[in-house]
Amino acid sequence: MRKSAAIHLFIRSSALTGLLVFLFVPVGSPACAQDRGNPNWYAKVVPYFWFSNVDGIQVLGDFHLPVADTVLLPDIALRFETGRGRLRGLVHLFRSHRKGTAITTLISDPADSTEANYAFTWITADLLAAVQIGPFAKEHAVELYTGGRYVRHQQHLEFINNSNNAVSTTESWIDPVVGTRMFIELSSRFWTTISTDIAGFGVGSELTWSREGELGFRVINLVDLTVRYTHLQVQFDNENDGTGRYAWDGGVLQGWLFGVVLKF
Amino acid sequence: MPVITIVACFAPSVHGQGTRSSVTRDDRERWRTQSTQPFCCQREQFVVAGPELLALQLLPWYFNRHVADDATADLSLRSWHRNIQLGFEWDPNSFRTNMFDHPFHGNAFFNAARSNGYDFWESSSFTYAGSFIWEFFGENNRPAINDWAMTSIGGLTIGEALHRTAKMVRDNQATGARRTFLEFAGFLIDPVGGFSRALRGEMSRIGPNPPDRYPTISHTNGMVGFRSISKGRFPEAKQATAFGTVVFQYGDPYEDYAQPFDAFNLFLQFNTQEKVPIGQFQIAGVLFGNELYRSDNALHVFTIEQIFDYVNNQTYEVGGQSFGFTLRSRLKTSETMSVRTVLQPTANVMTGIVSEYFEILDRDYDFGSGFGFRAAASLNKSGFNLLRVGYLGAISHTLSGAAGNQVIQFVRATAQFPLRRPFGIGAEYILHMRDGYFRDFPDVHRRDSEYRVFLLLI
Repeated sequence: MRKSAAIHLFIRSSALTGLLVFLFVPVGSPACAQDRGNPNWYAKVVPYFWFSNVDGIQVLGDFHLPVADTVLLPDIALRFETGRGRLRGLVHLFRSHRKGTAITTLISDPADSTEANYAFTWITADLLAAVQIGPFAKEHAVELYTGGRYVRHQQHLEFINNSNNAVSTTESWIDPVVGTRMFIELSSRFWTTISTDIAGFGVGSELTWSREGELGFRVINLVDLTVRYTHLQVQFDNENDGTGRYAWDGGVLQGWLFGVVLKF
Repeated sequence: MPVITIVACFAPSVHGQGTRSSVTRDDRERWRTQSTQPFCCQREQFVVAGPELLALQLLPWYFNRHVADDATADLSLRSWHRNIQLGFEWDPNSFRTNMFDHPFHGNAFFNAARSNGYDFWESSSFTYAGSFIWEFFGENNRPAINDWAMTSIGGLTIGEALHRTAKMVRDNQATGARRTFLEFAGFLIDPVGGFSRALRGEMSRIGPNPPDRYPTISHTNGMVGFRSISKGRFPEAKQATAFGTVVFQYGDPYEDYAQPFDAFNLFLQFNTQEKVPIGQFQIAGVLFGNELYRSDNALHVFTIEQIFDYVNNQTYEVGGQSFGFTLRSRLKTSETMSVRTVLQPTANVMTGIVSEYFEILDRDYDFGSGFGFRAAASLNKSGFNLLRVGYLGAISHTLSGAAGNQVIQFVRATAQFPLRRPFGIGAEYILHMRDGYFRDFPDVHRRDSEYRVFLLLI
């Protein structure tokens, strides 16, 4: 074997061995103790880089606008969590912005359709309080949570064949939220959370329904890497007449989040 | 699979009667570690569970691709990329496929972990992950959010019930033909668990049974009889048909809630000359419990229960996954008589309800989410239900389908009389009510009655 090939093989096998050891050899101290009813205060901050996708039919005044982006766009999200014992406080921030072109149709005259450029921003901010239920276990925790979700939609439409004709609207509302979250320790390095909630109940939106799954990997005791999938479906109608109407029929915000969990 | 369930329900009742015992985590650990040839598992076995989960993705894909010649199994990097990019949608599959078949698939994911040393909660993550992976990478069509929900939540409900039932059936001390029969029966109930045992050589190994093999109590009863139901939309179905049910009670929901599903109830109904033979399948398992009050004559407990519902007959289709927040009361009125009541608000995570206005491909129902309420009261004599009344109401806001809200209500009244053991007779009246309030279509108000007479097998 040539010397360079031997060195190459050595480097590759060392890297592979190191990776396997890193992945599967347990870390020294119990991880994510914060999730198991730690009597002391703890905090986590998770900045995410996320690839979001928005789907659905939007109603803007007399216009039907299909927002069916099939392109995942990078955006930002943030999660903050603090707690002590069975109690947790959670803050989630998501922002998704996209521009596109769609065919709008008039609700009053479906045969009348026009091409338009749109710039749409969807922001959600959750403020939640959670309580862990059931016994404290080493491997898992189940929580019920409730709180509020602020949602803000900004839409700007410019009709391509008529540059003087543009429509802008901003709609925001607050939804009450109830949900559940489960944390599961898969090994000393891998963990997962699964959560679902229902919100709205006619207070803000008619109904908002979300599901999330997350897989985390513990790099060191205070830092985790995480990949998360979130899916949020909204049905909203402000029930205004004429040009003031804003509605979503099954609007979906979903996508992949990649983040770093920083624990304090 | 339901036929398997019925066999399983009868089999354990022979063995399952016994005095109340409580099994601690230490008992299980002692059993695992002190056996001369320990049975699974002294610790979680990811090296087995992981490949089993992978195999449960590959086998259905291989079947779809090379046996069924299903176009959705033509996978490529492009189809995976497309699925990752587009994300979830709602699918147009039939009611049975979405509400019954998918949860059974999820049960296999769950038991890949459960049969390899993972507990209920840990195994649930395998169910979610298995379903997620299948949706994105097992088929080339777009992943369906309803499939993820039904496969994962329903899968762990069915999976835990079948895991515990199979554990009752298997006997590590049996030998010869009896051992073969019991292992085969256990394999039919929980195939993945059976496969894991075969891998470890436990199918033929003689040793102690796990200390939690049996619940504190269990009993099975059945009904066979005739039912008369309002004519629905399916001309091939008959108005008066025969039916049979099996009810399997595992553990006591008033007493057993140390671990999830230490108590659960499984209800299965078969119908003849109907649109589908399995008319109803329900599992309700206790996740958490807390005793509120106990005296000589009264017991009140609060439980959180996970509920799987599937009702499919000619007049209505209703199914879904819900969580019940339950106040159970047991009031002793004399030495032999007692009254039991259940008050249960429910959070319905996902519900499928038949719809007049939504028909796409195989789908003729709305998916929704909402809240409900169940209430029941029964008069018992020496453990036998003489009279029982029940109510179920739920409101479901449509997430996918005809926009609006649907309200379903069931009222049920049952009278039963014991004859010479093990027989009894009974009659039952059920009123189904469905009110649909649709945004874009006229409202719907249906009232359907069902009458039943039956022979009871206690």
